[in-house]
Formats: sequence, C-alpha cells, structure tokens
Amino acid sequence: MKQLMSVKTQNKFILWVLFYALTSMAFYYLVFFFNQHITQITQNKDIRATLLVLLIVVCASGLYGNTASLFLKNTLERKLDDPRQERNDH
Amino acid sequence: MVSTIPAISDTLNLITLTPQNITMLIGIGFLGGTMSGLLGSGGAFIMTPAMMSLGVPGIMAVAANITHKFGKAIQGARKHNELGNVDKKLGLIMFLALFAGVRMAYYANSGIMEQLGEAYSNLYINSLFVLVLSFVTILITYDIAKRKKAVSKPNQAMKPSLLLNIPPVIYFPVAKVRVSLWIVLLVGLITGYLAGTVGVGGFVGVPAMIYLLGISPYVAAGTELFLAIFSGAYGAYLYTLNGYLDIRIVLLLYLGSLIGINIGAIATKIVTDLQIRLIMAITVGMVALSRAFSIPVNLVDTGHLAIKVQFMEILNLISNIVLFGSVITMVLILTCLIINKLIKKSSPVKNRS
Repeated sequence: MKQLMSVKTQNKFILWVLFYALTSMAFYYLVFFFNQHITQITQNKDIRATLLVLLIVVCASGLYGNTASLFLKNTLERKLDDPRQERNDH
Repeated sequence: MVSTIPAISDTLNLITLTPQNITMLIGIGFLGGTMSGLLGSGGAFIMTPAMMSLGVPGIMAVAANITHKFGKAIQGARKHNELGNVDKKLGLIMFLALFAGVRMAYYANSGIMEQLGEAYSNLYINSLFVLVLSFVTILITYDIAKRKKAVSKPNQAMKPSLLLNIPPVIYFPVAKVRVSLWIVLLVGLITGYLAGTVGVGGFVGVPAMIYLLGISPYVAAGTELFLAIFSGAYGAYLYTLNGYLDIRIVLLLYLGSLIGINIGAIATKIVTDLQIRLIMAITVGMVALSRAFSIPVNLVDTGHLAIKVQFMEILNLISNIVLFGSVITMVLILTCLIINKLIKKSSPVKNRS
C-alpha cells in the first residue's frame, strides 16, 4: 500500500515538474523571441516599462523557481533527509 | 511621444549575448544563488562584479542584480514564512528606513553616472564594495574568534546594550527581541543604501540584525528576504524607469540562481554553523581583495593614474582569478560535502545488507 502511495506521489511530482519546466521554456522562448519589442518598451522612461519588467520577473521566477524547487526537493533533499538512512548513521 | 525621449542606456553598451556570455551569466547566477541559499543573504557581491567583468557597465549590473533579487526574494520569503521565520512587524518598520536608503543610493548612483560618467560610476561602486566587504570580513572573523572563546553566549559578545535601550523601545514577537526604534531604522537605512548602491543589502543587513538587534540567524534571514521583496521591487522600478535594465540578463541569471538557491539551502543541513561563518569570511574577504585589484584600472579610466596597458591586463586577470576562484572553490567544497554525506548515508545500508 505504502509502495503504491509512493509511486502515485512520485508520478504526481514528475507531472508537476514537467508542467512547470515546459511552461518555463515556453515563457523564456516568448520573452527572447519578442525581445526587440520588449526592449523598446523597457527603454522608454515609462511606468509601462516597470510594470512589464516586474511581470516578467514574477512569472519567470515563479515558473522556473517551482521547477527547480520541486525537482531538487524530491531528489537531492529526499536522499539527504531519508530517515531510514539517518538511523543507520548512528 | 515617449519614444522621442532618449533612454539613459542609449549611452551605455548593451552586452552581446554570445554562447560564452550566456553560459557565464548562468554560471554567475548559479554561484550567486548558491551563496544566497547557503548564507541566507549575499550573492550580489559576486554577481555584480562578475557581470562587470563580462563587460556589463556597473550601473546596469546593479540594475540587473537588484531586479533579479526581487523575484528571488519572493521565492525565498515564501519558504521562510511557511517556517515562521519572517517578523513582518520588524520588516515593515525597517522598510520605511530601507525605502529612504534605496532612494538616497539611487540619487548617488545616477548622479555620479550623469555628472561624471561611467568610469567614475564604476570607481564609486568598486570602492564601496571594497570598504563594505572588508568591514563585513573583519566583523565575521571577529565573531568567529569570539565564538571560539565563548561558545555558550555567541550573540551576547557584540551586542551594544546601551544603544538598544534608547526610547522608544519596541517588542518584536516573532524575533522575540525588545529593541530601540532608532537602531531598527538605522539598520534599515544602511541596508537600503547598500542594496540600492551595489546590490549588497542582505550581506550587511543580516549580520546587523544578528549582532546589533540580537535576532536569531533564521529570523534575520527570513525578515531580510521579506525586506528584499520591497527593496528589489523599488530598485527595479527606479532603474527600469531610467532605462538601465537589460531584462535578458535577469532571465539568464535566474536559470542558474534558482537552482543554486535550492542547493545552498539543502547544504545548510549538512554544514556546521562555524563552517558557514568560515566560508562566509573567506569568500567575502577574497571578493574584497578582487575588487581592490580592479581599483587601479578604474583610476586609469578616470585619468587619475597612468600605468602600462600590460600591467592593467595583469591586474584584471588577478582580479578575475581571485573573484571567480573564491566562489568556485566554495561551491566545490559544498559539492564535496554533499557527495560525502550521500556516500556516508548509503554505505551503512550496504554494510548491513
């Protein structure tokens, strides 16, 4: 039962990582593809420049940040936190 | 109508994104992110000079760094808030002073840039870097020495109790300290000024909160990240409004830094408190040294010094070796510690089976 739960959790985590990774890639592609237009806006001394930059920053850090966080939490951190192995240390 | 107004960045050189530059920016982000994740603050002190080494003008490197900090702080503060490490009352009071500090820094930076030009702007940023980082190195080294002598009372050694009691005195429930409003405002002002000038706010703000306000390192780190959201957003607002920001640099930095933050945070579970402080002292000291090597080059650019081009190249090379060497060494040490821990954890299981 526990193994089944573990597999389900594992599948869910992989799906979320894939979702965030693909969305991040699409977002980065859009920003770099339309970079000239974005630069035109960000080079104007205008409130729109700031709003656009903040929007891009929040989206990029949110999407890519979740990808990195979820992936490392379920791989490296889980290995280091494994309580079964922790007990064997002592 | 708006497009007829020339942006200030028209006078600056935008970096060309070659595969080499892209890789370097991702690498810089990773190194800076790992520093932030491990030490709770910092990262900017390596990222800003490293970007300058790639040819990004000083003020644009600061703009990219402070904008990058905004998104990074949102992620970090969210995690710390879940753990109960954010004192919002302290954060909001400090924010008022921090706001003034960032504003002062912006006027100083853009004033130098507009009045004296890029060479003086770079000299100013580098000089401030050397001064601040040397002070922080001495402070941490002093603390390490004190801790070795008095292990039982680590935070009491440097607490100026007289200053802390100047009225009005406020109690902060999450941080569990009672401290003078003036000290809180002073710490906020200095943090804001440094964040706005060189992008290094937390590296002064966190030690100041720990040693001057007597707050635990975890709450200091969490509150600093909470503050960094505001200082980052306000800094991004000011620099973007004057056309200093290249958004491509920010996005490339994220590719490395958001992985580095997580690895650095995970590493805090296996690195001891003293090891962290030693790493911090060595790294910050080496970065200060690296920037000190580049000051003669800045002086040549401003026309205050005349040295041979070959000598300048040697100085630049030494500066880059010391700068990148310090953080690469730190990241390698961390990687070795993590791998060592993983091997240690898996080996007893194998022995038993």
